[in-house]
Amino acid sequence: MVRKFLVGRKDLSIDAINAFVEGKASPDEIQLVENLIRDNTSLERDLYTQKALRSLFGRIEKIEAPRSFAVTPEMVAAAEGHDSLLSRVAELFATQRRLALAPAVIGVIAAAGVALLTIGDVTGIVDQSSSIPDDSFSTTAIL
Amino acid sequence: MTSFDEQRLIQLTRDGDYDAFNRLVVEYQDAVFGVVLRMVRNRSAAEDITQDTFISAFRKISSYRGGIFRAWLFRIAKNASLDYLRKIARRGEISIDEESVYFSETVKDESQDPEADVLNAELARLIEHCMDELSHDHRFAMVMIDVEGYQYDEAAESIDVSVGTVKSRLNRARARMRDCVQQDRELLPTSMRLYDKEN
Repeated sequence: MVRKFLVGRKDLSIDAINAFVEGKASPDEIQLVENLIRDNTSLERDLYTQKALRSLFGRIEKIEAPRSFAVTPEMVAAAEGHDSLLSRVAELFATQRRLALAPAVIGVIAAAGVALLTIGDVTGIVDQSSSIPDDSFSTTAIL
Repeated sequence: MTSFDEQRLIQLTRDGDYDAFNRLVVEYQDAVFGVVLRMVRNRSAAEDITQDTFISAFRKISSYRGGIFRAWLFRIAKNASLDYLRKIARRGEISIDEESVYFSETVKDESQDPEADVLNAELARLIEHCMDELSHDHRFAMVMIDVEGYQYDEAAESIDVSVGTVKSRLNRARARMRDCVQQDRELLPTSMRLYDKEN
């Protein structure tokens, strides 16, 4: 509802609506929101609902860290070792990925060859010699 | 901690001083863990991500170019959280701790109604469910601004987008949360009952 209503006046309206929901709207922003509400009464309900929701979030307490997350040289060394191992494995698989592409490349080349031969056959570019008797057929003729 | 102290600690960290960096860790670990936990909603994963965030921050401290240091940490934490969420999504796993609902401790009705505890648990689950329905970007904006109470500029720096984008995402997130929560309005405590659409 709110989004649909904001088309054309998006940035200004979003700023005003956010500030209104947060209870931080300036007099100008309040005026703008009141104008928007006047044009669309359901917007008022939506905004008060959002305000209530925000007040609900306002009651949520902060979370405390369950333990210390202090960093030690051993942790950093382990992370660097892990990254180093990962990069080595990645290099290894990079070669394998290139090899894995070989069948696909061969397939494409073969398909292109067949396509060229077919086109040549249809268009007559490939010589189908008239010296071959009409009542015989040989695939070697296209060669 | 003054900003001067913070900059001094950052400079010492650049020189490899673990003690200096760990003073920054103590200062920001609650904030980082809080945001990560609300994003991934799995305590064990949140601990791992928070620890990795600080290790990564120490290793990459030379790439910190100024600005809000906490936002820089949040950016690392957010990226690690998103990596985790994508990973479990690919595997088709469920991240959320079934036994833990992170809003239930705090969304309490003050009426001392004997049924309030049950309702609060239901309400907490509803909020959890609705948060889960949001996209990662919308959830992060809502967690940063509405739940954790950070300013728009800090949230924008954490996500590496403009303040306008954060406002826009938050606006959409609030609208979607409103629609979702309204589906079970009877669960809301009377003292916090949302605006009644029918009245």
